[in-house]
Amino acid sequence: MMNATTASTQQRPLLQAHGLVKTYLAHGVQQSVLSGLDLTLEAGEIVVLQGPSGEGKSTLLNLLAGLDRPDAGEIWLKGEDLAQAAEARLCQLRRQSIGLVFQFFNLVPTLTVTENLQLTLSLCQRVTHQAEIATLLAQVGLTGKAAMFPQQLSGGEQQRVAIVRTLLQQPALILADEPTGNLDRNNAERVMALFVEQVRQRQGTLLLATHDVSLTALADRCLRLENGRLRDD
Amino acid sequence: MTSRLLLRASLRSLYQQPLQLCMLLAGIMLGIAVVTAMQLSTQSARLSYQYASQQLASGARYQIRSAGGIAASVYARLKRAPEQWPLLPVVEFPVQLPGGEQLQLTGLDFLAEQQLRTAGQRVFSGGGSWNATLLQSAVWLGESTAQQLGLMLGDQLTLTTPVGERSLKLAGTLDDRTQPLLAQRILMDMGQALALSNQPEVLSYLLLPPPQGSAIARWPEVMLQKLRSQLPPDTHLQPLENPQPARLGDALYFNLNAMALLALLLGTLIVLSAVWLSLLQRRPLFAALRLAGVSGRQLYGFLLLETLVLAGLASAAGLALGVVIADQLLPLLVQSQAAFTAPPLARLSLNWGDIIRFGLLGCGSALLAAAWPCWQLARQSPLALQAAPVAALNEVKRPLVLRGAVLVLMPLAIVLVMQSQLLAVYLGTGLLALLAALLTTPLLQGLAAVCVVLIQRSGVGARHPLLLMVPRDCLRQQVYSKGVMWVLMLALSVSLAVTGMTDSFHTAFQGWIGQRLNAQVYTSPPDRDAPGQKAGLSTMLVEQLLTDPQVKAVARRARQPLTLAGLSLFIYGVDFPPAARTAYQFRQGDSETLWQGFQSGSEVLISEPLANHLQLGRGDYLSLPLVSGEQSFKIAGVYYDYGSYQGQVLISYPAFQRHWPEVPLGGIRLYLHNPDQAESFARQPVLKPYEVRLAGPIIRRSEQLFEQTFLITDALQLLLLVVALVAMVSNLLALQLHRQPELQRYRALGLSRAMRAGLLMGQALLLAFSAGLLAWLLGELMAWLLAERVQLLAFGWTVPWQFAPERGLIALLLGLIVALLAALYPAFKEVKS
Repeated sequence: MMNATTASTQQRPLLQAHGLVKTYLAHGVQQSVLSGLDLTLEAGEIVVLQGPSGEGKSTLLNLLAGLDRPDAGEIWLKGEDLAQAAEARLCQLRRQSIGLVFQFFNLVPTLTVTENLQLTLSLCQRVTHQAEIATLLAQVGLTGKAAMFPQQLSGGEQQRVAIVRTLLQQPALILADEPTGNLDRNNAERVMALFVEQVRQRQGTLLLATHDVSLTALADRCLRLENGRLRDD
Repeated sequence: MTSRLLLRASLRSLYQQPLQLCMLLAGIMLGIAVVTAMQLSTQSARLSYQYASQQLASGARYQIRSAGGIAASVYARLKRAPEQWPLLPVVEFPVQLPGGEQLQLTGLDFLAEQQLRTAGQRVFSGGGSWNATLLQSAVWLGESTAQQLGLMLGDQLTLTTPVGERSLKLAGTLDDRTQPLLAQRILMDMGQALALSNQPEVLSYLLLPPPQGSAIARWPEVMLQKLRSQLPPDTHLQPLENPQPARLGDALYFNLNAMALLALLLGTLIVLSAVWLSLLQRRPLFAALRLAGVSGRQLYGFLLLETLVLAGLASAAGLALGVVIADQLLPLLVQSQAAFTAPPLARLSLNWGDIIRFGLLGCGSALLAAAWPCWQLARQSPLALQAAPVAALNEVKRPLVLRGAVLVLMPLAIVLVMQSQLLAVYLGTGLLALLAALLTTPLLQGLAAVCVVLIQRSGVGARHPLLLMVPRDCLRQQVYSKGVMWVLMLALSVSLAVTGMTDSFHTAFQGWIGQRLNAQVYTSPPDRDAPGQKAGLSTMLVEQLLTDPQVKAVARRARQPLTLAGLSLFIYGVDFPPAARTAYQFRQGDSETLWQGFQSGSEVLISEPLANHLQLGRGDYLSLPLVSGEQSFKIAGVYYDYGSYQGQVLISYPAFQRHWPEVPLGGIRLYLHNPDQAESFARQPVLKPYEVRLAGPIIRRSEQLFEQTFLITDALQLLLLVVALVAMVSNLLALQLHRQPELQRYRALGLSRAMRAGLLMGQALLLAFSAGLLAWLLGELMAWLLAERVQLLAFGWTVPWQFAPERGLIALLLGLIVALLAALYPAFKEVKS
């Protein structure tokens, strides 16, 4: 596995998280999920995040995406502390700098494939020609599916649309939460190979939370979340 | 681009779930329809009153009336007076068309005043010219009536008049499109009308238009007093804005307006419920949009835009439905109105202004109703939107908010309802309704908890866990069903309030009519209301009647007009034999003891409106202007009276005779040992020279008129319940749709179709029971406010409110029936699935 951190020691890290704490109240009892977690992601790095269920992988990704706020700690993305940013600014960052890929694809069910992509493009105010969309869809094997609605596609196809959507957004950081959790093994391998390839082509940064051990082979670095903290795997 | 895509995403979502879209549209449509129907029917009926009093009076502000009409000599004398009163004479009487249809013939003097000539020209825009009215036997007809009869200008029209059949020539038609009241009228020259009336020297009434050249267009009180002083006794100058026969009509409109306001609240709640449910059901879509990068502000703006578009469509449909309902209600309304006035007008009045107004009202109330739930949804984080709404809502500290709202709203509502302005009372009532709505959820939680405990303790829960599922599921689904609980609660409470108010009116009316007509036979001088009638009944007759073995008691009555603190009213001198005393209902005063003071002549009784106007009560002193000067009388009691806004004063007849010896005996009330013999007694030769009236038929006729008055409220009550039923059906259907995956799980677990249907029906019943309990409380409170506070502020009288437990039980039962009916279709769908 290539260590990208050493390659960019002169550069400022893309993302830095310090002392992240997050607790939840469940049935009247405070449960600590993250307890002083630190994380650094360099630009162009592909990192796999592993850990048992319920350890807080999704919680960490939600915090890094600005979807949730930590109880304590800082999250610096391109020199901006997400923990302190206003909701409107977080929304703007999610449009321009953070791409999200979810287990359940999160496509807008009432928009076609093309319209889902157009929505993302219009929100991040990026002008992309129809031809570019068509090329990207062709690259991920979705030729002829542009006018279809998400529910008319298979799970693998939907996830590929979600990946294209994220790639079109050209975010500095892509956060993927169990992107293959809802796919069969064959589909999962094909989709992830494609995804990682496209991220590398664009020199993007990817943090991938997964149970799938086989995906570690695609990563530059592997991290394990245990007892609310990260350790190198 | 983003907005276009958002709109496309949302509309497709609604299109893919047509039932959901239909329910949203139906919710808004029903809300608008109720409001439109109520406002339109009330407004149309009120318009006909306005036409009656304003158009034909050509802007006159006062009317001079006497029960038997105004003698032409009185009119001539007033015209010759130094003040040169600009009076306009009017003669009116019914005539019959060959087909039997009755119309009102109105004779006007078009040469009398410039003002009326102008009004005449305005009215006569249908065809012909007003000069033609001067032609011999020329009449004018409403355009639509002329069309119905197939008459053209110049055709002959045969009418049955008081002097027999007459053939008249149609000189022109009247513009009854803009002046709907004219559709039922025939206009002709005064002189010719008088000749046909069989009383050529008697006018129906005189109109006093506003003074010409006056900046404020209002007669000064000094001038009015001067005019009053020139009028013969028993002839009254009355402001036209407050015509005497329209009193009960005004009360009716008032009730309808109060109901229209409540309907507006109900409509807004229905819209709120529909929008709320639609938002809850589309949470996954909104979560996806938010995660895709749509900001909360963008989502909020879009949701409001979407509401506006849908509300526009639904308002148009609601307006159409409202017009149809109003069209059905109006005949009932004018049927009630016919009890008080001349031939009713059953035409719906709708113009572009109304359409725009109701459209704006629909869109405005939908936006108002949607603003808060949309804002709540838009401000949630994408993660919260992804979570189940119950979990998301549990994050909010509801009990604290609720306690705060109740603590603030409760005293505010109490302060408002005790104010002396009607608007404040209405606002207070609205706040009370809001409070009750806020309490629906805690009540449901409490009831469900009690149900769970009872089921567990009884041991039934172990054998039939389904019984435990009903209250627990109800609690879990409360976020979806609270909107419909509000709708049902408000509809039931309005229904209960109207029933309570009608019951109170009924009791009050029966008490009052029994008080007014407590004797069996009433005798008065012949033509007592004829102009110039001065003769009264002789005391010989009283003595003669007292010796009759059939007669238990005889009571004398005379009256004298008075002006007290600017109020024109009558003081009555009356005898109160013991038989008459029990009929009187007192607001203040001990009915056992007050008669002693009254009989002494030093104490008087006053009616409730007068007591309220003068801020006087039992034990206070009332100063009366006697011939000998001002004299104070102690007030022995305040009795309920609904006969006049200004009120009246009662004094014992011997005392009255002492103070006004010149006033003749105006009438005698006869109390018989056997009331059933009243009819045969009235035929006695001794009574032949006099006018004799029997109380029985008058009471029966009055009660009939009263029942007609409340036909409209019954119909509106039914309408509200139907609307609540439809709203509840749509809500339960939506809930069932939303719960499909859960119900499928139950199915997989082995719950039979009947069990699943029972679950839905049990939940509906529990919801209705909670809503019904709160409705009971709120409904009785509103009934009390309408009967005691609103009537007092609007008319000066109160209608005693009485608590009747059966009323609340019926409302509760009605709520359960509505809930069962509403749950039937969703349960049927579940059984069929």
